[in-house]
Amino acid sequence: MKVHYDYCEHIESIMKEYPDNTVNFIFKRRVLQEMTERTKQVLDRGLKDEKVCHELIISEFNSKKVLSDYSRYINGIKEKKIIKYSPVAAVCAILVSVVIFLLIGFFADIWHPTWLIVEGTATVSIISLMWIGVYLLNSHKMLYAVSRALVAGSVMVLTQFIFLVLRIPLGIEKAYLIFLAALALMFIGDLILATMTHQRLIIINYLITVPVVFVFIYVIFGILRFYTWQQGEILIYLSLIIDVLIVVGMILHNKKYSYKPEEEDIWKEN
Amino acid sequence: MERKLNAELWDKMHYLFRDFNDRMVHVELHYDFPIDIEILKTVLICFLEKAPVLHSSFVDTKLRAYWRVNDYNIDDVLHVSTPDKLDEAINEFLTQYIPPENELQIQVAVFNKKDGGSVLCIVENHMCMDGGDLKYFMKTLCRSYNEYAENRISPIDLKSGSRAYDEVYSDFSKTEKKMAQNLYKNVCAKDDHRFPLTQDNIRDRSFIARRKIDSERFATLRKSGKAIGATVNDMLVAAYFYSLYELAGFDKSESVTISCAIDLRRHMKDTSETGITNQTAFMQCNIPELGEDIFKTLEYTKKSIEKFKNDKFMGLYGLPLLKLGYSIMPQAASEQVIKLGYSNPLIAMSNIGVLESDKLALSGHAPVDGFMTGAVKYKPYVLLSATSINGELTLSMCVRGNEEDEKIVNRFFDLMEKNLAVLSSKNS
Repeated sequence: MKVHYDYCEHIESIMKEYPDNTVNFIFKRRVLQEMTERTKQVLDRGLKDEKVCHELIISEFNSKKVLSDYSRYINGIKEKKIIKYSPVAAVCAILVSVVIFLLIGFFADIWHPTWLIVEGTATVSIISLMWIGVYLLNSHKMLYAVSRALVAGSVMVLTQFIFLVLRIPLGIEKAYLIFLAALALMFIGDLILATMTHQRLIIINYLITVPVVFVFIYVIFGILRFYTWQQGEILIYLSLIIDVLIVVGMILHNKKYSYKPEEEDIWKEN
Repeated sequence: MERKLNAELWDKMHYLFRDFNDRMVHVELHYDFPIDIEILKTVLICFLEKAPVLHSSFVDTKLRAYWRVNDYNIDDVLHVSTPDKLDEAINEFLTQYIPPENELQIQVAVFNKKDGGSVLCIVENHMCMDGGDLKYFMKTLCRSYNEYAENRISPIDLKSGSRAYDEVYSDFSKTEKKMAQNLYKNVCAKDDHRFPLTQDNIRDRSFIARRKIDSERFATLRKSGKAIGATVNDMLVAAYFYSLYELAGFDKSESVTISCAIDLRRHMKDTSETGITNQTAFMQCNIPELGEDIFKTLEYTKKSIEKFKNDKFMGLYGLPLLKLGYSIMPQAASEQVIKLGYSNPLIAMSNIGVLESDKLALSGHAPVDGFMTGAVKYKPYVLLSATSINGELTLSMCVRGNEEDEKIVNRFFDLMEKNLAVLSSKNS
């Protein structure tokens, strides 16, 4: 095949701002390979003029595309590093906590409740891994449900640790109520995730979350006898009022952007 | 690895229209010289590479929809022949149907005439691009053909940006964009008046009926329009209304609506950064009654069209609602929900406009004749397309029907001719 364009020169000119290291070399080789494969593909489709084919491929792999691919490539490397090293860091942290627990145990002969150090470290490690998962999945819209599950899971993992702390060293009998609070926190976490990722129809999340959270508050404080069940009902009404305020706020906000063309009834004369 | 493209809002909407029409857009251009097939092949390959949607299959998994890019050979796209019966061959080619699942969404044919001329015909899926972008595609194709033929300039100029519907907002200010994105209005055609075609029949076939208004009569019509302050479009719609009342025998006091296609690119200053796509909506042009004569009908028509022209967000009303429907539900569910609120217009018109013969010239030969038309509609839906070339106006209607329907459509064209002549008479 007669070469009309030096793809290498084209790639080098686009990547001239970037250093000549191994990472970039691999990327440039990859682009070159893609361009060569595309050239063969287009020629196989029946294009007989090789010059046109080369110019077509050059225009396809323009600087905008190559640099955007490069940005994705670099982000991919970063993500891979995170995926590779995060579990290792988590395991190391847990091992260190086990060593600390054993050292305290052997040297000070205290074995309880120092095991909570191991439990706490494991909890933090697992939650960190889950949140890293949420961060990595942020760019994958299709996997939003997985992100929601991870947020809910992290709330539950944290809750069991808080429960253990409240129940064992502090001896709080009604510590089990933290699991009810966790359910409310799961809704709040989901709402925060939806807000941060700019989900559509987020207003519905707000309208559901507010009453649900207030119901849990009502039950928890009711069990703790902060008020009589009847007095607590005010919380339910309060949640409904907040919902109404949210709706009114949204309507007022949207009103700023409403457009009404001058609708004259042109058929009035008839 | 399988390459996928996003199925954009309008792609999905046109897919939804599968019960109403065959979604094909047609072009026919006659030249008085033989087109160089090798040059055309080169240009077409480059264009298909620039617009991969044209060699993709539409995949509907019920959960989501997308385009799967396919491999192809140019010989599967471009067909060259020298038919004995030219008209029959053209008609057969133009009335073909390309299923969305097909590996290619465009078919091109060159029919060589025995007198040395040739006919370039193109059929493409409306899901890929509308009449507006097909016109751009044709003009770029001809320009690239010429540049390549004369100076060996590579034909790589076809625009290849985003096909997303929201490109239509790209030239709005931030506030205007928010306003436009808040136009949650269900736009649907509510009129039950029908074009008087026969009942559906399994033996029905697709046909393209067309009628030419010669350059002399068209020039008189334009002149008359200037005199009475009406555009060609106003007069075509008015004649359409008047002919319909006459043909279908609607009561003169009844209000009738015709949906007219509007090019949403009117909201965009520059479309060179977008890809080939659909940016067409409909406006409901309505008259309260027929009026005592066609000039009164024209007055009603102008008033109705004027109302839309004065609207800053003309044609953008249903978009946010459609977008919402398609983004919060799986494909199958969103189709069902949208179908509940959507009613396809029974009577529609698309004024595709002028086919500039100088821009469609190949190797210095301007097309001697030609036209462009919309999809073959399934009864009872009809769409009247209007294009002009070399000063001649072509009215066309693509219908899946029988011989009786063809007669009805031709009778309608007779009435159109008569009524356009009445409108032209104002001048003389």
